[in-house]
Amino acid sequence: AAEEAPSTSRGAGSSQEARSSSSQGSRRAEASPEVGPRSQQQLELKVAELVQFLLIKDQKKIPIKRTDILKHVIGDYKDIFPDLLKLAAERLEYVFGYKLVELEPKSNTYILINTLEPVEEDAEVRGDQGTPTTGLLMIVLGLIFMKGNTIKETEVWDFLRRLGVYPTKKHLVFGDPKKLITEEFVRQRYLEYRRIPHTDPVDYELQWGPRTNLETSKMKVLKFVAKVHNQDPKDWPAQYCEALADEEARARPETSGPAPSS
Amino acid sequence: MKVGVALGAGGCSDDLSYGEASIDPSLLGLAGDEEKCRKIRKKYRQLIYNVQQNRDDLVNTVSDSLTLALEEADVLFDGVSRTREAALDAQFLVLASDLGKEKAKQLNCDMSFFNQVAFCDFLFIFVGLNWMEEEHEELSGFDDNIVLSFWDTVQKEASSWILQAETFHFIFGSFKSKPAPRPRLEHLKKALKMEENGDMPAKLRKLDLSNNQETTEKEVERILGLLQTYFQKYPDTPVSYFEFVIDPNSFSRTVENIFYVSFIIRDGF
Repeated sequence: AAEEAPSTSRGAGSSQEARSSSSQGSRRAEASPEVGPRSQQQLELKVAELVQFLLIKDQKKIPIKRTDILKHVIGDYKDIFPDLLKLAAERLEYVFGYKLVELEPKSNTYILINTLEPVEEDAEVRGDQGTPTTGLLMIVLGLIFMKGNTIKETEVWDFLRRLGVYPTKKHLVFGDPKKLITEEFVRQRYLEYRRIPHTDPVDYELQWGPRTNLETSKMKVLKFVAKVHNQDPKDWPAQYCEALADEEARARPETSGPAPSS
Repeated sequence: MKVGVALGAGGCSDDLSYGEASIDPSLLGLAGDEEKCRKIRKKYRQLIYNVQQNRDDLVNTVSDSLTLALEEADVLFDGVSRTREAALDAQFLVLASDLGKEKAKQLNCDMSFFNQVAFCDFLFIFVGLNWMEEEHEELSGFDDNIVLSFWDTVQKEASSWILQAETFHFIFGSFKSKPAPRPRLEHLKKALKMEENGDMPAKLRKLDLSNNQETTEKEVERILGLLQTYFQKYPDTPVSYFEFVIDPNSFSRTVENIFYVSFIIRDGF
C-alpha cells in the first residue's frame, strides 16, 4: 500500500522545492529576517508536522533518516533543527508515550519505541495491526540468544519447520517467511544477517540487531522463553548470567544519552 | 621456513654436480623440485577438501579430527619452499581457525544446553494445542483456524516482552497524494466520453424523472395502504410515528420512510 504522507507546509515532496527556493531568493533580496525570530505559531506548526511525519514514517518500522526529516519537514528551519527535534520528542513522549531514540550513536537514524510497559488488558483492545509478526520475531530472537547470540540460518529453518513455517512455502499468516526474516526484520534492524565464510553450500548467520537491544533485552527474551517452558529463567544458568550482566550494563548511567543528538 | 632445495629459487647450487651429463643441472633440479611442489600442492588441496567435506565431524567437540588435520598440515609445511604452497597453507589455516572458533562456541553452549526441539513442543503446550494426535507432525498439518490462533496467542505473549510502538494510522485513512499529471488525463477521458454519449444523457434524464415520480407515488400509496389496513384492524390504537418510520438496521431506509410519510401528512389523509 502507498505510504500515507501528510502534506506539510513545505509541500508534498520536492516538486515544491523550486517554488520555495525562488520565494526564498526574493525574501533574501528584501533582507527580511529569514533566520530571525519566527512566530510562535510557525514553530508550533513545524513541531506538529514533525510529530506527524515521525509517526507515519514509523509505520513500516524502518529507521527514519535525518536527511529525510530535513528534506521533507524542516526545510528552511534547518538552523533550529535540534530544538525542533527535541520539542517533537517531548510531545511524542507526553502525548503518545513514545520515545524518539537514535538507532546507534552517530547513525543519524531514529526510531520510536514505546515507553509504556505492555499491560495484559491492552492485548484485547489492540485491534488488527496488520500481520502479527512479533510472535515470530520473539521466537527467532529467543532462539538466537539461547544458542549463544548467533545462529545459522539452516538451524532456524530446521526449527521453524515444525511450526509449519518454511523458507520456500507460502505461509497463511506470514506470506513469504524467508523474506520476512532475512529481509524485512533486517531492514527494520531487529536482526543482522551475515554470510558465514567458507561454507559450502553457502550459509548465513543471524544475530540481534540494534533495534532489538533498544526495544527489548536479553533478560526479557529469556523470561519469554522461560514462560513458554513454564520454568524459571535461572534454569539456564549461563544465559541467565549473561542477561543479568546485560541488565547491569543498562542500569549504569550512559555517557551519551538516548536523547536525539544535535 | 626451511630452505629446501635452493635450486628452485632460480639460483645455481654448487652442491650438485652432474659432471658430463648433457642435461643442464639447473633444469634437472628445477624439474625434480617442480614435481615435489606439485605433490605438496596436491596434498594441501586434498586436505582442504577433506576438511570442508567433513566440516560437521571436525566441529564436533568430541572428535579430534581437527587436531589431526592441523598436524598433517604441519608436516606438509616442512616441505614448503615457495609462495604458491605457502598460500595454500595459509588458506588451510584460515579454514582451520574458523572451524576452531565454531568448535569453541559449541563448548560454551554445552554448558547451558538449550534444547530447541523441546522449545518447539513447549510452544504447542503453551498455546494449548493437544499434542496427542500423532497424525499432525507439525503445525501446518492442522486446520487454518488453529494455525491462526496459534500465532495469535504467541503474538499476544510476545508483545508483552517488547516495547514496540504501535503503528500509527489515521482512523478514516488519509488523502493519498496524487501526482499532478493524472487529473489532466482524467479530464481528457471524461471529455471524450461525453462526446460519444451525446444522445444518451438526454434520454436517460427523461426516463429517470418519470421513474422517480412513479416510485414515490407508488411508495406513498403503499404506505397509505399499510396505515389503512392497520387502522382497520386496530381502530382505537394510534400508531407511534417513530416506531413506524424508523428502520433500526438501515439509516437510509428510515430517511426514505420519513420522506414518504411526509406526503401523507401533507395531503392530510
